[in-house]
Amino acid sequence: MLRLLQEKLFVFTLVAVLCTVRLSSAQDNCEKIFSGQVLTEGQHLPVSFATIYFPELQTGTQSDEHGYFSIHIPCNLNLEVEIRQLEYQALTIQVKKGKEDLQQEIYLKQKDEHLSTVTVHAHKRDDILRSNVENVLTSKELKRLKGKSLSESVSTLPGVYNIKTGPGINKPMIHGLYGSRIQVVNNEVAQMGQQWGVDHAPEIDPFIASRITVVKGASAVKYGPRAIGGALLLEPEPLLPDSALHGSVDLVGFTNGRGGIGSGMLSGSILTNNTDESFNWRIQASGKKSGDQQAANYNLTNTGSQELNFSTAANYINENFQADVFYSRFQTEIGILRGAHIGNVDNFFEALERRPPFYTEPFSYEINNPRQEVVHHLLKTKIHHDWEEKGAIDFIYGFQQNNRREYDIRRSSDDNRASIDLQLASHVAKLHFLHDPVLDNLVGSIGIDYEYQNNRNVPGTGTKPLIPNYQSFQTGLFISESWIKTNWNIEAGLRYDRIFLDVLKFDADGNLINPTHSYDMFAAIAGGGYQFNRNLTFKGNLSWSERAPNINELYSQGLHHSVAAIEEGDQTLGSEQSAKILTSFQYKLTDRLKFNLDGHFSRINNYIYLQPKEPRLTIRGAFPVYQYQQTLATISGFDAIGSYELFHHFSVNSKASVIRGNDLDNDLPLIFIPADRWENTLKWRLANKWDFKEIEFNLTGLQVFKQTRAPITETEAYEEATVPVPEAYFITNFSIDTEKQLKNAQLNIGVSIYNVLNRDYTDYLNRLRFYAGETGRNIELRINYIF
Amino acid sequence: MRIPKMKVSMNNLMRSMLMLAAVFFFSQCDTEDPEPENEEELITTVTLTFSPAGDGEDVLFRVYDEDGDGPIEPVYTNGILEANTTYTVAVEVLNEEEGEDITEEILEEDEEHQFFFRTSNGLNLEFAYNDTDGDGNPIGLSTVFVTGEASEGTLTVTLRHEPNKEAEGVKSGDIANAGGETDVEAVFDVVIQ
Repeated sequence: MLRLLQEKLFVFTLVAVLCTVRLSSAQDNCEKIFSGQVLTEGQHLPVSFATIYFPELQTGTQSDEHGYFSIHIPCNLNLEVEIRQLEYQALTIQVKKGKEDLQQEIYLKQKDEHLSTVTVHAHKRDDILRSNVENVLTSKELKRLKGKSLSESVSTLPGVYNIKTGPGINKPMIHGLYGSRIQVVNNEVAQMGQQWGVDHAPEIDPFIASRITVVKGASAVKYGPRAIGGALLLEPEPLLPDSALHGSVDLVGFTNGRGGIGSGMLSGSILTNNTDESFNWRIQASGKKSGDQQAANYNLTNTGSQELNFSTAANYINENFQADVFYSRFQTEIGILRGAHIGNVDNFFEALERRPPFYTEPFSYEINNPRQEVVHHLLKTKIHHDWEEKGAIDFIYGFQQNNRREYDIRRSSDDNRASIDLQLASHVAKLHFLHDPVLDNLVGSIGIDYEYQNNRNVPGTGTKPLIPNYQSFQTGLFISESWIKTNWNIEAGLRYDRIFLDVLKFDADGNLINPTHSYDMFAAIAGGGYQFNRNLTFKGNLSWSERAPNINELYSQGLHHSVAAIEEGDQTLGSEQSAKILTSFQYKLTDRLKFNLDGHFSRINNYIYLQPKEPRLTIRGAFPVYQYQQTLATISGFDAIGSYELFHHFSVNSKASVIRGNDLDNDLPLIFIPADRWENTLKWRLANKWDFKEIEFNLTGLQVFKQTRAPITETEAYEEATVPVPEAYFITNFSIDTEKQLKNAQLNIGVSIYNVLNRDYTDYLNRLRFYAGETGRNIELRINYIF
Repeated sequence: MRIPKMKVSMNNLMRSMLMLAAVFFFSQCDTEDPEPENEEELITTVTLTFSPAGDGEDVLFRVYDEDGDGPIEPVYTNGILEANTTYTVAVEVLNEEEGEDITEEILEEDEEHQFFFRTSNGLNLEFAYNDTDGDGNPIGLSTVFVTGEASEGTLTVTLRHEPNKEAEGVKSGDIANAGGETDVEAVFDVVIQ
């Protein structure tokens, strides 16, 4: 009781002290923001009303009900921070001096556990540009998206879309760009798969990530030329010292596909006599099995899938040094809708009329051809070193091996022979140096990145390869600097990359040829942010980036069965140049009413796209031919978000996204640009009710409008038949999520119902929309146990 | 568990970095020549041999596409049929690049293949299947064609892989509900005189 009183007094004095100190230190011109979230160790529950106190400064703050906190602190001092909350053991962490804002998750231990004196160091982090517009999926949001693919998860964020090839293959799109124009960065290593294929999903187990950031601006300066359209950053939970063994188990079951997913994780630490030092480890595995999915009224034959993933991580941490090793193996087998495999243009128009699709059979778990098998290995090592007064250095090396096999319907019924068998080995090395403030306010980083790829067609497919064997060597240098003041900042960055491409292939006459290409690519960014007052913040940037043509754009040669089209590369293509303006306004009208408006405009010179050519007559009938060509394109649009708290714990959120794409050379709309959408969510949250710590109800209505700006394709012109563009649709989703505190453990149970009304609809961004509708109602049960 | 403190010096750091750098610089020097791959699914040639009842001369219709999906257009050789005559027709499918007889492959997998024959309006040409697969359904490698009065038009020959032979009208040669992928689609000009 006495202790409780003390604690209360402490908080009271703290608040008083805080006010006075804030006033007196207002003229201190060098400040940074120290922010983050206080969580329980192991279970990662938010810890509300924890005090974050700096004894040297006699100042502090409190975490809010979700555990979040943010405080301005001087940047020219090494500081100790005490984090206290009644039910938890107090923790002291170090904050080094330095201009960069620090963001950290702080983990507190329950009091009944035995006392530990581990010190957790806040190592400097190579942070992302602050003038860029980002959206984040936190571990709490990811809990509700468990069982969804990476792309389905991020497409819940404004301005991010999901491109589908039937129900099993999902690929992310940011502001109308995807594939070779989006850089996926998994655990600080650029993902190296066969990214060029629209039907090639990122080869990543979403259970690994505890935080996913979508960077919507051009991020080429930080992440290389492929990030011309944005970047997707996946971060696993930080591996920090912890005296107890922790773990989690996830079970997901879903009705559509009659499938299930299981995942397990275990982590622990080995501590030495030195409290500054620790060895930490984690192992994790997940598996998934799903049968055929169902559209609203019929079975989608051969859309089952299965996955088996494994990862392990270990690190060594001391006061100013950290060394990490990470390995993951991802394996998937995905069936592709049988009715979507067609021969020629006639078959395409027949299939268009056919509902249910050809070859529709009753539900089955069987996965037959056409199907994909992918295995992806990632080995990453990282060394981090903090230098007193100087900065920090990071060295990252990543090796990846991507094996992709695609099995087609063959005339000879040779089902176990792949038609596409590609092995891509890649090495990535990065050396980055983050410097401490110079001239008081200038922080930044410089770095050198190196990438090597070796792509190989495994012989024996009995088909001419779609893309050739090649090696690519890419070296990049960058510098980015920010000038940071209390309520404004400006930043600028420069990058130069050179890529050398060494191709080995057979020409039309069967002679082995060895063409080579090299491209120089520049990128630059300038931007800043200004906080007008407590309620209004603006940020924006102007960027320039170049992207060399990808291997498929140069050399692709062959027939795509799912669209019955021949695609041809052009070896003479040059680099794309994109200029992009990005702006973001955040406005808080009252504590209950908030708005956010992000606008973007980009002008892409030499934009590479597939241009329809004269259809080609063959012994199999007529095929449309598409050739990679370049044009001047513009893409512009906005994402608007608003939220209003109607009553206590009852709020409505609204999100709208609009994109327009134009091909200026040909005066046509760009193909495959997402339709306008508007999503509204009613959220009702109950705290400490019926034995549950939290219960949350979400009812979402998503309105997607008709894409009225889709250009007529050459196939349609040739056949004098039009392919209908999907009609507007409205679907509703409902979910209940509960959180229950057990002794030393946490149990989260959630139920979601997708497409509650079982609507039959098609989406413009689904490449198999010609053959079947979207999936019907799906009821999902999620159980998450953390100890 | 307690283990003795490990000292991490700058030397250690540099050494591990060099080691890592060495690993990836030396692991990438292998380049391998690709092996030439032949298009095994390729069909270059389809021949229809019309043999008249009695002892008339065989009439050949042939299409040859040397590069499959490539840009070279298929070349047609068309024949002239006699009016009011019954022909037995044999279809032959070849991959001449590989020297492979695909007719045999079709016979081996006969349940999964069917030829369809469609005539343009005004061409007086009737046909009937003259063979059956293991399930008693038509294949179309052997057919009987009967010509009527003199006329001109086109004959479209389609080979479907994995059609639904049980669907309505498919057994009698109606392609509308057959589904499947088109392996061959050849349009011959036919003159009956």
